Amino acid sequence: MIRVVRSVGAALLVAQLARAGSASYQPRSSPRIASVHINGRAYVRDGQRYEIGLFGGGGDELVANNEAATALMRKHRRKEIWATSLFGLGLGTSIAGNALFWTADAQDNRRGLALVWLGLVPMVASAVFFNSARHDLENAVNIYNDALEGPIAPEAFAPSPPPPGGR
Amino acid sequence: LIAAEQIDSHESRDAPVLDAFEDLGAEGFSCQPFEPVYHRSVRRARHAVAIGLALVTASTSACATYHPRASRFISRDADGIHHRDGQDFKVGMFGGGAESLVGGDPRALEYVRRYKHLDHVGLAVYLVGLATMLASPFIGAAVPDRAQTPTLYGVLGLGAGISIVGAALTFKGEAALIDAVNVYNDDVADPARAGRP
Repeated sequence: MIRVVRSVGAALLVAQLARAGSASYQPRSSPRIASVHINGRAYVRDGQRYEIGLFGGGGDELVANNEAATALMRKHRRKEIWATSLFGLGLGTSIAGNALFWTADAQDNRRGLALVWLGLVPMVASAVFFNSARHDLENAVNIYNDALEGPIAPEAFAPSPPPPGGR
Repeated sequence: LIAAEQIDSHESRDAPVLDAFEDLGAEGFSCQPFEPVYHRSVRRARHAVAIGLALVTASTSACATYHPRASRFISRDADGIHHRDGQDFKVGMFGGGAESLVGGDPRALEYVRRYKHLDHVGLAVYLVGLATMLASPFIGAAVPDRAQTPTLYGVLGLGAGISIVGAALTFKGEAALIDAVNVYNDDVADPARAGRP
């Protein structure tokens, strides 16, 4: 009974955490895209809510009719698929390594340990893809919004000037 | 001087052994370059630093960031920097700079105040939870042996719960900042709405 109460309490806390990032203000109907969640995956445009899936699904509809933004959304989707696959591969390898480590003899647990470390490599690589995918998504949203006010300047993607004194 | 005398006495007493050692040195030993042998914990620390560096590099890997055009609407670029009227606004960890971002809009400022309040309270609650979790082994060690394990896990769970509540409050605060930006942009698009409760 106590275990059930604990599990329900933990589930409620985690659910509260997942709900906490949602914005309470509903933006008015506008052609501009507005973010409505801190996870950067929920947007509102023309009064309609768009959720970007784990594999980048739903992004094309959000920036429909804008070629540059749509191209970036497709890049975002490809990178999300790579990132999620790599993360899954790393997680699976690490879990397998842990299982091997804890079931093997104390003298023969090197193989498991090696697998755990090996699993970290695709997980680190997935972080690069996740970060790059997030960049593409936010760039696509900004390009879409800016295109509503006029054509996009070609130098908008130019890197920022280095800070004073920097190399 | 004493050491020299001791060496002298050893030389006289252990002369055959030293001769044999010198013979070995001449033929059996070769001069190897010094290779440091690290303790296991040091090796682990080096691995941890290497992985940490890889993670930091991964999270800050260079990606092209589109710089939104100068506009009266607030936009946020991929680096998390807000832009308005051609100016950059960096909102700090404790909410610094948020007021100037939505300056002049009382409705948006109300959301910013909510953001700062929730952010500060959430961070404090999160740190209390973290401290509770860190203190759990010491609290567990202070009780009788039979009660050690349940106390340890109990305090650990309590700390985790408090931390989750703190994180949830911080997330609510971040969401209030998004509300402030959306309210500001809506009021820019329709100035008649600005100033209304």
